[in-house]
Amino acid sequence: MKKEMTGEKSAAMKAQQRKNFIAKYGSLIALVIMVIIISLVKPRFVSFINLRNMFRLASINGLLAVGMTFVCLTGGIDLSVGAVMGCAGMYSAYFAQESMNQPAIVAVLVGVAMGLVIGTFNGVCVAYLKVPAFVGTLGSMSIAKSLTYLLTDAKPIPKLSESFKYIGGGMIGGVLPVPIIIFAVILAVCFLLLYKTRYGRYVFAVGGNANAARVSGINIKKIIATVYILSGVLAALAGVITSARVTSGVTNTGEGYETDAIAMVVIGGTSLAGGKGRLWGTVVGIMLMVCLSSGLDMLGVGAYYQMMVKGFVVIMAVMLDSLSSD
Amino acid sequence: MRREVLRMERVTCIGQGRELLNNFNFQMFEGEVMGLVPLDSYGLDEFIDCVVNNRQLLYGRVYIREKLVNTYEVRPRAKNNVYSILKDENLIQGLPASDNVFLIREGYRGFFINDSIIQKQLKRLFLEVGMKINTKKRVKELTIFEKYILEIIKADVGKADIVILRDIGSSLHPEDIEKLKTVVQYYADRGLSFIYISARTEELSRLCDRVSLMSHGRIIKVLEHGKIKDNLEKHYFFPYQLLEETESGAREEGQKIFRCENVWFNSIQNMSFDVEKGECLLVHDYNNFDWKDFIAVLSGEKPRKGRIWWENKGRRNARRDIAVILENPVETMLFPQMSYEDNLCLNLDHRIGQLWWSRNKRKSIARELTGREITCKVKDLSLKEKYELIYNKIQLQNPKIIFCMFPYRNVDVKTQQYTNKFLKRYLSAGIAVVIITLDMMEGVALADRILLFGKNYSRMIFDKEEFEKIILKGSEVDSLKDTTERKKNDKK
Repeated sequence: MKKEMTGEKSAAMKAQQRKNFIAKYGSLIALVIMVIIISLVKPRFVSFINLRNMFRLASINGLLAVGMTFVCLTGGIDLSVGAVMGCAGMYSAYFAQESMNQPAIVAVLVGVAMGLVIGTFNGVCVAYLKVPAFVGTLGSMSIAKSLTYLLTDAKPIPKLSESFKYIGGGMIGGVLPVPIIIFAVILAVCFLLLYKTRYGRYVFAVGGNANAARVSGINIKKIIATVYILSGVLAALAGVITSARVTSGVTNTGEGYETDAIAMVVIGGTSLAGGKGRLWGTVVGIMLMVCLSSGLDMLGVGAYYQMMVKGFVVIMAVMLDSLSSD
Repeated sequence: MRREVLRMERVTCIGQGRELLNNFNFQMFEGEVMGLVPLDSYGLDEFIDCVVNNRQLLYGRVYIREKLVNTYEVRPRAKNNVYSILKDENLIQGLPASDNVFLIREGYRGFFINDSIIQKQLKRLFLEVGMKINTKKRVKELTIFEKYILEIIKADVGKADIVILRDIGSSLHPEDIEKLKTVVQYYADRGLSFIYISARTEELSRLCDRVSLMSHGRIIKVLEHGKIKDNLEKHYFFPYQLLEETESGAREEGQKIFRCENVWFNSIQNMSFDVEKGECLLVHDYNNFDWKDFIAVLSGEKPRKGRIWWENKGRRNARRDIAVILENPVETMLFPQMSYEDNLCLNLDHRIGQLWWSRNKRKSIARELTGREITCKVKDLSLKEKYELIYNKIQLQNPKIIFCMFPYRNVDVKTQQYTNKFLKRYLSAGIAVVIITLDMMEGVALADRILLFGKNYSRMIFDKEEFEKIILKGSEVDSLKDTTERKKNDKK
């Protein structure tokens, strides 16, 4: 019986190791397989121009997803990021009009300030007023949309200054798009913040076990409030970059981006229950969703079918994660 | 001949890479109250999981009412009709008691609900056991004792084969335990079988027909009713008690380091006490304070009245001079997704700069403390290692005072001793320890002073010697209150 038991034990351990491996690297493996398959069918997929476009697109979605990762790690959710992105984009575009004659930095700061204000509102609602995150951020989504429409009565804002447009469409050295540089810098800062600072460890602690975090002397309200502020600011930055890229302020900017951001975070292995997740996983999630979108476009799959495929990918990712934690 | 209700034959289960139940044999009969004493923590959860959920077995068979329900060959999907009571987790707090008993159960097929009928029925069931409750009350408005009785009634209504009572005596007052005995006996006489899990001799000898002793995942002895108390104390608990007899040093008389002055906050009403440097204060609560409210005040919530003071108190507990060890800390105080060293160092960053920048620094602290490299996930640690992690973490924090919430509730004898070992270590380092408990005899060995919060917000403080004299005289809790009220009623 002893031998039987040892065999059973090692088999169970191996199965668990396999599950852990899939949970940890499943998204990355899926991304690599997908890139290989699509590039075999459409070699243009891995061309420099296409890769650059994909990274540029990823950098905007990525800012939202990185902010969302912080929020999800505390066990919360931010449904307002898409609306904040639109709102910040419009307000920055308003100040970036040629007729306003303002330097680009003013427009950027106004946009980011909008994100800061709405993010703070979210943070106070969720952390201090104890409004459930889902409801609180749903409310602020509506408020942000209203602020967007009120600014120009839902009309687009054209004729932006050249210096502002450079933020979204400019190239460093004629090769590297500015949004990619901005995203890379933000990502690096967030990596350091999450993994190398006390703040980051507290974010994990609050999401993992809020009670224990509180008795460990962590100000959990402050931590929760700050992740919403961070999420708001990053969403606003994404909005500013989008306005600069499309060279006008458009009221429906950011619509539906919140669901994409949540999907990227979940695909990356971050648990919506909090306490568990990784930023590099979110980066993989971002790339997976962007590659999927671009690849399906190239393969001529219709937009409506693409939505279905994306839905299945998200469900698969969560399912794998749940199975591995069983 | 009595009918057999549960038989476990050579049951073996593995978990976390070790055998948690090892050739486990167990047998009980209809209408029997079988005690189960976990001398260590091996396999207790797995035992319950096997009986309730038909956990996967590595070897062995489980029979309920002489029917094979689980075997190592095939794992059945269905759960058994076994009702496990640990705290009030089976009840829906927001619903009335009657709904919980009659409607919220498997197999209920009614569509229209007549509230008055089910309330009358519940009232009758309570009267049968000699109790009266307002059946319209929501569960959250009931006392903890009423909730337990409600759960036992629910189990009986659901025709449970076995009811598992998991250390529920630890959250009851002595007079309630007496009532519990009546209720358990009433249902046992009607054929309901109980497994009473506890490490308390008094309760076991009062409530149980037989007691099984469990150690290292096996039943090592079954004691008949008449032999429970003597045998447990002489042969099984005595070696643990011997280990207790050591002094806690480094106590400095008179220097107050913590004061709670007339604090009112939710369930906490007019609470006052103080703590001296390096002393062990045992707080025994008869007043049903919700200690979560006290923790909230410690964590920075503003009390409605009164104040809390401690040395170097800032706006919050920024220097971490106050530490709290929650009840059942291995479940409530660990961060399972974080590494061992991160868990260990979480309360240390106010003392060491750049701690989170360097993983090697954290690892070396962990290595120095444990003497080895621990690479496995926190959730895969053994129970002892988890306790070690929590207590070492608190030691690294180096607080001035530690509040230990119900450290002896729902733990085995070994863990009780292990907890005491660490508490002694804190005390000898000059750290004050406040132990919150519901059982008067728990923690007395460590205590320098004993504080009782009586009903109606009265309170009494004793020195250890004085308290022991009173206990030796054999007086019960009520008479103890009367005699000491005259002598040492603290009117601060």
